[in-house]
Amino acid sequence: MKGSSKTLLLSRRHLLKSGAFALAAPAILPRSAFAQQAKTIRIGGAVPLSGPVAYWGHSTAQGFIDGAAVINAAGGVMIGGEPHMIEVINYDTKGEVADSRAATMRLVEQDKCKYVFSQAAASTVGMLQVTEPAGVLSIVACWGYLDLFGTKYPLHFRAEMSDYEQGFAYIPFMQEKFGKDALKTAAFIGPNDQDGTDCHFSYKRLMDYYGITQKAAEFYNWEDTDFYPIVAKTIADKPDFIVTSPSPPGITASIIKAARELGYGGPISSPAASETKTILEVAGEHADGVVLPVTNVEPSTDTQKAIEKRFLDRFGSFNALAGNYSWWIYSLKAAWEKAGTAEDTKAVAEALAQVELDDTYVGKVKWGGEKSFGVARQGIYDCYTTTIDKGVAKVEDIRFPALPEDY
Amino acid sequence: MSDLLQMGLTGINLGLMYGLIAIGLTLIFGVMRIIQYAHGEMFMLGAFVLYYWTAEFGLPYWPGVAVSAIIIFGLGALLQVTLFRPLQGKNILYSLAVSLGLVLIISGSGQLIFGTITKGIPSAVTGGVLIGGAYLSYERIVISSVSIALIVGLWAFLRLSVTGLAIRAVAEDPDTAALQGIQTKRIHWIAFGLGSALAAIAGCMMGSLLSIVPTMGFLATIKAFMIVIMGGLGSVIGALVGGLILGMIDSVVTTTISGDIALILSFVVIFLILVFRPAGLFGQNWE
Amino acid sequence: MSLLTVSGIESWYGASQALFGVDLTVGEGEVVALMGRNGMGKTTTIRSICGLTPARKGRIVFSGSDITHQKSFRIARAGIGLVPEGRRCFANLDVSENLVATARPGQWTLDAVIELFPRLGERLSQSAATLSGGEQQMLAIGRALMTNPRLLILDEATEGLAPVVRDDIWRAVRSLKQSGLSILVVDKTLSELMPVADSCVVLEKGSTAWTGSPADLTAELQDRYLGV
Repeated sequence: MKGSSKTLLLSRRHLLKSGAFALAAPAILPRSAFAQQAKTIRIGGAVPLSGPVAYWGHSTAQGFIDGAAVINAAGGVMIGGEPHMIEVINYDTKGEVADSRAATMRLVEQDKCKYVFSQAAASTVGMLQVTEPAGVLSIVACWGYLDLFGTKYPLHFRAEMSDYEQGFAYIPFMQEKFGKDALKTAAFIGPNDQDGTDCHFSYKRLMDYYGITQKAAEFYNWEDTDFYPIVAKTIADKPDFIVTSPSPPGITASIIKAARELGYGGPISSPAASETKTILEVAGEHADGVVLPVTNVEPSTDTQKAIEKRFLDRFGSFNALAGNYSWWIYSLKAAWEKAGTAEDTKAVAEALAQVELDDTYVGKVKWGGEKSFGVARQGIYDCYTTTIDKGVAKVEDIRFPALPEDY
Repeated sequence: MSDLLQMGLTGINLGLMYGLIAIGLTLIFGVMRIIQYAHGEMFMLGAFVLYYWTAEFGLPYWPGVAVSAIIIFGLGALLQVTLFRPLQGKNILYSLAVSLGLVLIISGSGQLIFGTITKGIPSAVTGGVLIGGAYLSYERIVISSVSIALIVGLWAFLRLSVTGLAIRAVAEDPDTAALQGIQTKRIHWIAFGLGSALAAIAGCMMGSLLSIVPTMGFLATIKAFMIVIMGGLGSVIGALVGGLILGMIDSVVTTTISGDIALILSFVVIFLILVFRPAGLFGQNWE
Repeated sequence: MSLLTVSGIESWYGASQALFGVDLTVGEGEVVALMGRNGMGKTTTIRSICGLTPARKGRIVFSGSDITHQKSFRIARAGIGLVPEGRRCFANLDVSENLVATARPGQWTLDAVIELFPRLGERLSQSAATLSGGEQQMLAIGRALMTNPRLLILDEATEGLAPVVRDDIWRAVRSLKQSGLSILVVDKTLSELMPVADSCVVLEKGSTAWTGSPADLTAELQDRYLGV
């Protein structure tokens, strides 16, 4: 989240400008690239650019816009010795199923996109109604609706690690940090929708795997304003730690603040917040003992630093979440080149499942989950865990999830 | 025992903030008989003014609350003069349509201007105190005190000041008030500005306690309408009592049973009130 | 010099014309009775003077300035105090709030109004809605006086009141006249009205039919213009 606040005002304008740049990119590339009449691969984004989850949507779209510009500038995607330029088109889904379905239809039928991406459950549900029947490959960040993932959706990839995959990195980390005996029981707080229910399922599976007893599971309404009541109820059962999933940063921060004010001292982990600034602002002095998996707030490798710099130049802001999504387009590029086609999405999907990248914003990346879902379509990568202790956020652990044998 | 006390304290705190938002709305309806559906957007904008004042410019908290109230007062007055004045005396649906448009414009441009990331307003005070086993943060004490002071202040203003009396006179019978020399148009923008400023202050308080996003206005509007309908359109006391009822239900039922049941129960209570008192707890018949 | 001069005003309610040329004059310190059968235009004339139903033709001059097209509140502030038909007190306000809400500085203060209507003094903190009809009428007059008008307009001030209460109202009107206040009165009780009026204006079918002193308003004229 470094440097994200000052320039926030400009982010959307930058995004639009850069979007226009991405659209116009083929036209302003060196003539040599066009001497061979470079072909174009269109990637369509049906993402929430307005509404409550717009922050996630913008972060996702930025990764593709930036990645396309980088790949195009380096000569494009080489398929069969021929350079292909990437064009990115984004439509707003407002985070609604129906709007996402309409946006995806437009991308597929009007813009002839064979590759689409989306963000969050509602947009993903709407997108899948169109893409799979049309033979369009989709990459999304979505944790719930596991029945919409697997062998029945061979062209559908979930690039973001859900709270389940993250758990195999952050639970071992927490056990090392706080001691196994200090983490025998847990409580879950999540929203009372499908996302919350699905995440509770994942959480339960995770806790069972590590032999942690569930003390309480509380579900809040999105309409809830004050989290005192629900937190009071949760901590009455005295769990050793609390998992807030999949709660956005603002709600996570309110939960942390309420828990600390009400005298709860145990660790609170949030596999969804991926952000520290809001938590520090909202929870203030109470931001302590917070564990944030997949949240890299201190870009350290050259690749990470370069991504941060490019995002700041291009969009005026950068956040850890956008960093997490920045590798998707590079894995697609690798898949196209490996499959030797951008037309045959089935072949590309098979190639994509084999792609492994070593140096991305999230470190090492591969696709997994074959035993759990029947297909290797779930993104797995190094988990950068940030902790907040006494109001200070820092990356405290980096590890590849120690997934179970049967995953 | 301490659990009960905790629930009670949380409920009162919540209820007072709800009341503050609803009082602004009821004032606007009472004086102008218009539906201001963008009331929650004033609440949101008020919070963002304070956010930029404190978090971005590093200026002190309380003057920021005052600045926020003044700016949103001005905005409310401007909206009344430009958009709502021409609708005066027309069917209430006109104001509903115009204010729904305002909701879309304000919350939409709010996302463009403020960004979509959740923000937090740094608290003015820290620490807290244990009372009979229940924890009460100083922040909540301050926020409740501010809410109470504003509600009492508004009550006194409407009863003791000439402008306040004029607001009440215009609310009841604008023609007669005009015949006695009251400039009703002026009263209208004052009341609209005042109602908006109250929402802005509530936004500042709620924003400090919780977090802020450009879309936060919608829920505030819903809560405010629930409260105003429960308490009676146009009644300041009704808005306060309605706010406290809703705050208590949210606190007690969510803590003891669940948030879903609290939401359901809130509506059941509203329905029951409307069945037995169709005009709300303290409402008058506006026909 | 006359305080109020209404010359040839014509007023409409939407598409239907209600006044077809009303002329009347109220001099300084004068009490003028505005008379006529029901529906002849008395209330419309008052509404036009006060700006509620602005005249489309003709002129209304008050204290030297043209107020024909002024807004109600400006006319009120210029010095015309109306006691409207049906009293229209602010029911949600208590008695003293009713009096203070629209007050403007001048000789009429809360104390002065209470001296004129002692019964109001006993009910200052009582809601106006709980007052009797007579008390509400006193309140409506007191409220108009608190604006310190130069011309008081009484529209059917004693209608529907008990005789005892009417006496109180007429006593107040006489006392106001004595204090030098100009008054335009619409009232059906000729026996009370005639002695207090300096001149009479009779309306018929929306225009001034007769103007003169009460002494000249003979029984025959009364029968012609006011009889039922």
